[in-house]
Amino acid sequence: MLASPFLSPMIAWGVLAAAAPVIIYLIMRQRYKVVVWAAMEFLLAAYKKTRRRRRIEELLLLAIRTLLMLLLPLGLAHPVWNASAAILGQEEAHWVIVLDDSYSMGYRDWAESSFQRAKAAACEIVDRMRGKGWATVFQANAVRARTIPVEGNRHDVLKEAIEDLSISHAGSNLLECLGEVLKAVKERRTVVRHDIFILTDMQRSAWTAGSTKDPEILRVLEEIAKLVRQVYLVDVGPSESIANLQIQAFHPSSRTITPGRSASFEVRVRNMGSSRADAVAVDFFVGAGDGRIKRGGEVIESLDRGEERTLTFPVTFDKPGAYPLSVSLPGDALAVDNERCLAAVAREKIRVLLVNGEPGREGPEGDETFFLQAALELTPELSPFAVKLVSFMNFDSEIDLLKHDVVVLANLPTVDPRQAGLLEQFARDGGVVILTVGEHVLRDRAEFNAILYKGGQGVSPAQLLEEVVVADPAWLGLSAVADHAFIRTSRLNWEPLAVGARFRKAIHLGLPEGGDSKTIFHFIHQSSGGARETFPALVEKPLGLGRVILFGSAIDADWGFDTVFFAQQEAYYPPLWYEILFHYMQSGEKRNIGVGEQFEMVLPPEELSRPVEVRRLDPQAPPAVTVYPVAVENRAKLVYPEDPEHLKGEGTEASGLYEIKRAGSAARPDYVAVTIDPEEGDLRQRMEAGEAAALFPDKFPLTVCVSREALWEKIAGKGTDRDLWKPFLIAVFTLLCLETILAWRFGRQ
Amino acid sequence: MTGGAFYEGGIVAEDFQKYLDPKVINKISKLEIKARLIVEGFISGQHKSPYHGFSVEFAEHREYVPGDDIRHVDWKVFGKSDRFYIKQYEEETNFRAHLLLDTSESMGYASGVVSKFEYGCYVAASLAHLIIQQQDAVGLVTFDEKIQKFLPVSSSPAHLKLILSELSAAKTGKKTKMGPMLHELAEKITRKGLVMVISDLFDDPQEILLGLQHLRHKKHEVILFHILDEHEVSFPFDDMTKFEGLEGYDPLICQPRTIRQAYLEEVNRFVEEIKKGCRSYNIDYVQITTDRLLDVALTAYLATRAGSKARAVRKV
Repeated sequence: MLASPFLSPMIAWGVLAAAAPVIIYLIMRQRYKVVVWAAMEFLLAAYKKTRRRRRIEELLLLAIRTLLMLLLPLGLAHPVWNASAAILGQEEAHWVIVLDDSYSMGYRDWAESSFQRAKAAACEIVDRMRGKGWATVFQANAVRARTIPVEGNRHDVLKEAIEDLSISHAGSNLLECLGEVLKAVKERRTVVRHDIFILTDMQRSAWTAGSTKDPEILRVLEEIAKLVRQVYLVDVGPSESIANLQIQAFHPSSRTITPGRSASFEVRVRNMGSSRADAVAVDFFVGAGDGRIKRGGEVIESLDRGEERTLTFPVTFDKPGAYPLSVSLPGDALAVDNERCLAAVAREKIRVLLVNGEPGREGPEGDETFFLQAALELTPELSPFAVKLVSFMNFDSEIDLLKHDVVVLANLPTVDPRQAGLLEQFARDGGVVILTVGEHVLRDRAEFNAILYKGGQGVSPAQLLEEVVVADPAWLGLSAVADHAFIRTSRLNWEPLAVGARFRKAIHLGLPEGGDSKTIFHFIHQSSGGARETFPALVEKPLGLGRVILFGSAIDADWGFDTVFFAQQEAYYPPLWYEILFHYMQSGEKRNIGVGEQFEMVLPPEELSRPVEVRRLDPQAPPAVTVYPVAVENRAKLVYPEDPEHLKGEGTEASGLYEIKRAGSAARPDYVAVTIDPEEGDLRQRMEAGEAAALFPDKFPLTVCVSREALWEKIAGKGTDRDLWKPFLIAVFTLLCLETILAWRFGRQ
Repeated sequence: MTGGAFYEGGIVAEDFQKYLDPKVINKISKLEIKARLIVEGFISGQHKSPYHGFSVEFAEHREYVPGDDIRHVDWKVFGKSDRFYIKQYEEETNFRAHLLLDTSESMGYASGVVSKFEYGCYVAASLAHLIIQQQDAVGLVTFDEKIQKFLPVSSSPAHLKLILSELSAAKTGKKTKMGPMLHELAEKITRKGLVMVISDLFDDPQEILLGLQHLRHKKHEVILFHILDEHEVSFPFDDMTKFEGLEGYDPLICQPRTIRQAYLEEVNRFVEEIKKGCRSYNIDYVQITTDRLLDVALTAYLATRAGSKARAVRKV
């Protein structure tokens, strides 16, 4: 299909008016008055004398008038001249258009949102494509970048598809998206010229989510710089002052919600706008859809710009199970962050079985489980844990592990293969197994390795190696592994443990190569000479639906009693185990997820063959999607969306509450909450042109345009597609003046 | 003297000068009255009466009219009758005037209410009237490509009626061919006199000048009244126009603005050529456009007449 050389091709039909002067000339020749004339001799003489001059004048004026009528509609139709094409001949151009569809693009600046401006700009770009131009249009956000499935040379269809695009609820990560853009460029490698247009609101988070220092991203940028002629970064964001209130966080105040006991939920509201907000009403709801009931509400008198306020709403649940909760703010220019949901689960206490390998041998201070029990049950009535302590000698009689959620084996002298098999099964079914060492284990570590490690195939995530003994004044501290999921999501600061946790004895842990075992904490060995050595201290590995954790030391008088409990005057040991147990008990399920993430839910084995309907609780949402739980060990596990690359329905790309209903079951439905990334809603964090340019490597062909209009000015300045309406209209004006002067001069006004 | 009140045919004519306007005089039907009114209008604007200057043989008394030279008032009669009378003398004159009026088709062109031919008729009639009033003899020749009518000169009042009758009956219609006609007249008019040609001269200028030269050669004094329409000298057309030619010319469709300059140059060149020829043959050339007052011709005539008398006196 040949693209029109005009931005407004319909007006170009006005060139037919060029025939008007000729037609008028011919008509006027037929419209004359008749005069009977006596002095014909003089008239004829004058007529003959001036014939040649008059013919030239007539033709000249006719040509000017025809040209005038030709140029006027052409100028008004916005003719575009492609300078590069003129130089390179009929080159084929490939324009990649990246539409940032993160939810901040939904901010309405007057009547128009940033996303609508981006779509209009994208349509303009497609309009201006010349000749055999091919367009690839990306809809990009932090979850994914995908192309519009329309052939890039069908410009009209492409424009319709762009108009139909809707905004996502995801954040943005445009640097990551450039990888997909590079693939699209490579697919059309034969094309002479590639230009990339990124239409975004210049949210800082869109670029800081990735890093141009990342080797992979750096490689992508370098390849783009080689293949692409120009990358245009176009700011379509709001130009006015920002007015946006946001619910930044919504979570339970305590980690455990127990039926019959009041639970409180914290709501953090922040003024993301550029001016103060008054009388901000915050409403708290329990339930979803039509059954939603307002259970609380508060009005914040005033909220200065950038200020945040945390409100607490109490609620008591009658029965165990999942409860959908939501909070909402009054509507403003960015609606999507005015409501936030939460799927809260009221459950009975986490049942922990502590198996003591050295019960009371050295009194409370030497007891292997004394401090652990104290950590989990400091205040039994408030603790989410119900701890049962048994001696290793009673371990066999307590072997019905399914009555527990967590099993801790603290310095057990011997574990036979049968017990090891039961532990493995327990873990695979979703339980958490924690292994700590001590004198018994140290002595029998060969047996431990043989039965529990089994060359990396057993329960233990690591094998036990040699003993580490640290003499005064040296000590072993704990150093958190920053990118581990537990450390990342933990609310506590673990840095003081590096110098505050002074262990005296430990066992080297050997992790299998290429296995699933991961280190959560390292020991830091501070030798008397000041040299530092690190080796794994706390390691974990997934096993089936559950998890096994191995700690390379112990808490007793010999191994690490003195300082661990009160590292730098702060109690870190109880919170450490409290957090670890809670984290891994929750990890079997993911009910509160971010936009685009998968949620996971563990179901009883009997649910395996039953279809489950997943439906977003919104009248505008598409119909429910039926999914089937998958078998994982002896349980049924529901994962949705099953394949994020090939979604059935909308997946979890929209924020809100999702209802999980088992087909044919009268049981209460389950709920999952999908929430937005709050950082994306901070529209004050927009980048300036210079700041954006600084993100990219030197000599990267980047042009930052502060508006749509600036884009065309920059393009015109670079000699790509040039809108020639101004020269055309100047030519028309000049011709008009010339025509007037000549007509006056020739006596033909 | 102006503003004298008297009756003429039941019409109150207080200001005769208005009859010098072709548009006004055109409203009067009878040529005879027209001629009189023009002459009266002309005289009322003069400080001196054009009638009878001097003579040797008394003829009769005439009541004084404004403009008469009071030297000729007969004071004896005034003493007796208390009324002013002028003594008139029978002039023994041999002044002979010939009016040559062009009746070709081109003379029929009129951009306004009066055509060149009509204007020419008024000029001829008023001149004839004046000449007869002055006791001079006048004749009339109408012509187009040939002589249409030839009235020999006479000074009788009856002859004036004949001339006016001929003028009233004359019509335009044929082509002009002035050269041969002038040659023919030059041969035909044997006694020298004053020849007054009234024409638009739309013919070959060289032939016209040769004809006039022939008249001069025969000792005639010649006044050439070149009658043109105002549009013919200004060419004030703007819109696309079809010019339908008289005297057998093909029509022409053109944008007049584009050729106005060239046309005017052609007209001026033609007029200049005629003027130049007239100067060289000592012919009085008077260009008149049909929108001008009719006294132009009479003034020119009187100037010429006065000149010829002066010459005659010098000869005596």
